Amino acid sequence: MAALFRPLLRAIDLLCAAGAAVAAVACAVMAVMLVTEVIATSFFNWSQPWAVEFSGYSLLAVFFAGSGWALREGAHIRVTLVTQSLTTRAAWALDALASAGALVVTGYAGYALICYTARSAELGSVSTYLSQTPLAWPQGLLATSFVLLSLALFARLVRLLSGEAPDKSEIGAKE
Amino acid sequence: MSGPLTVIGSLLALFLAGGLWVGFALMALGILSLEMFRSMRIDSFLAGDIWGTATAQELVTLPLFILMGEILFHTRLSQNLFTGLAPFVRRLPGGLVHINVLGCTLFAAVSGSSAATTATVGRITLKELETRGYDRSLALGSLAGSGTIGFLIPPSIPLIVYGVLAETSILELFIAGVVPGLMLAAAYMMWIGLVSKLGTGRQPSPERSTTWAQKGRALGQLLPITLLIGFVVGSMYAGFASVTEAAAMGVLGALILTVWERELSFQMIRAALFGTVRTCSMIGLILVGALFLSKAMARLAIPTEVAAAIDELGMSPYALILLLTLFYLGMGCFLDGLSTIVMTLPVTLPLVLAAGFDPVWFGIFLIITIEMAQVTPPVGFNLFVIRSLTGESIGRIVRAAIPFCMLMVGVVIVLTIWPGLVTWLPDQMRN
Repeated sequence: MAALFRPLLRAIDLLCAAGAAVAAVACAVMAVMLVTEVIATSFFNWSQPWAVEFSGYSLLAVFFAGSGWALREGAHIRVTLVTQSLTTRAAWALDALASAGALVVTGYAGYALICYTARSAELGSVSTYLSQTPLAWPQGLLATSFVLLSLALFARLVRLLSGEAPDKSEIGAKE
Repeated sequence: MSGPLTVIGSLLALFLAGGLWVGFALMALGILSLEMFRSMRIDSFLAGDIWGTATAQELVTLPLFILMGEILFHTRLSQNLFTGLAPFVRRLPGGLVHINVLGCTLFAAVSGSSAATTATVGRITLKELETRGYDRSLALGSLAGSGTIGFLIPPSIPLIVYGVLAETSILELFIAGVVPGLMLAAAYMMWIGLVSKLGTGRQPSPERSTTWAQKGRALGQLLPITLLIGFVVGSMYAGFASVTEAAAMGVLGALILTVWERELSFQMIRAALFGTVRTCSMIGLILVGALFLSKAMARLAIPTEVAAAIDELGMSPYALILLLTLFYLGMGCFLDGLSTIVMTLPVTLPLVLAAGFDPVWFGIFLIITIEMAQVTPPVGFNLFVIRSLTGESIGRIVRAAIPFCMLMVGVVIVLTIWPGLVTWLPDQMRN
């Protein structure tokens, strides 16, 4: 089963890593924007209104674009007290069930965000800031991030069902 | 209990025990409860809520403070803290063990994470204390306890999250955390001194005396972190910068420190950024789930219902706080601190406010009880950090940490009896 899905799993891993790279770049951009804003405002009395707006968009990327990658890294928090006390087979079954449940929830949230983005695009909604950024762009990034998280959960489920280790870090998964 | 509350409580326990990730569990519960008990369009409500949380301006400080801590983690800060503090504590009863407390307190002033504080200070001190013959239990316990100060001394990630959820000024919370944080540090140092004086544990070999020149050089090693604390915390307190601006300047200050120490490299920046993404992804998922669930619960009027049920019991404010302390200690055995805050706050905050407590005071109370959860098994995160540093068993670390956990209980009692210790500084700032 794993061999059958191998190219797909590799592609999902690459996409999730790309998402994490986008999140890392967004974090750096956010820091640079805000440092520039503080220096420009404090020393040159020259405010950059776009810094506040775009720091919000960067925030959504930092929070969610790398979420699929973080799942593979075992960074998301779960309670393992019960599963640790189960037999290996029962723990595996429960893990698969939890992954499937999480996939349904994320899939639903992803679908909701895609509809939300499409509605913004149809209505031509723009931000209330001077830049009047079309909201469909940042909302599209948020929807894409949830799609990536859904793909990461799907890959996790496939790995579990084919007997592979689903997370890179077991320590992170326990926390 | 009413139907919705029973169903939500049972499903939450089922989801969490089944190993569903906390963020997914909270979001699923919000979706299911609205689907079952309210006739409304959930998808657009959910999407709007996620969008609002993901772009909330008040949360921008979180990645910045986390990035600052990540950058500092990759510097020689821990080594500098040890060599810089050692000459000044060697003659105190307990000697260099005090470095665990002072080092964590100083590092907490530039990092919002308890785990990062424990790991940064512990990776140097534990080995050095072992080599010099200090009592192992005292070293382990003091590190476990002191690491939690990272939650209380600003900048603190749980305090930012509490401020956002409780709609309370993050700056006031930061200021309110200073006195209790210093009280906790003082209580730990007194305990270390007392235990060392009584001489129940292993006694270290006497430390060599230091000259004034050596003391001067040691102070020089503490200078960069002292300047950074002044830069970040001082600018907020003096009113020169908002919390977000202080966080941004903190990142700049941390980068300047790495350039000063010749540690700046592409690999280091990359590791710090990905470390930040890892932590923020974890926090982001929990936050969207919790904020959505809290709105769903508000639509089902659950907080009002719980408040009415507690009100019927006719409890005094102190009895309520005792009940909440026990409740949070119990929760801390199963959940990490951040999840505990976000899951329970929509219900507990209205109760506490109705009992006449200040929201800033409750934030600090909550953070200290959450700190206790960091060192109580089986999900005490600091325990895992120290285990990964030392390879010691969780049981041994827990036994070593018990006295420090009891000191936290003592500080909670003091702060409950004299709430002014928390609220005095923010009141002064307001005036």
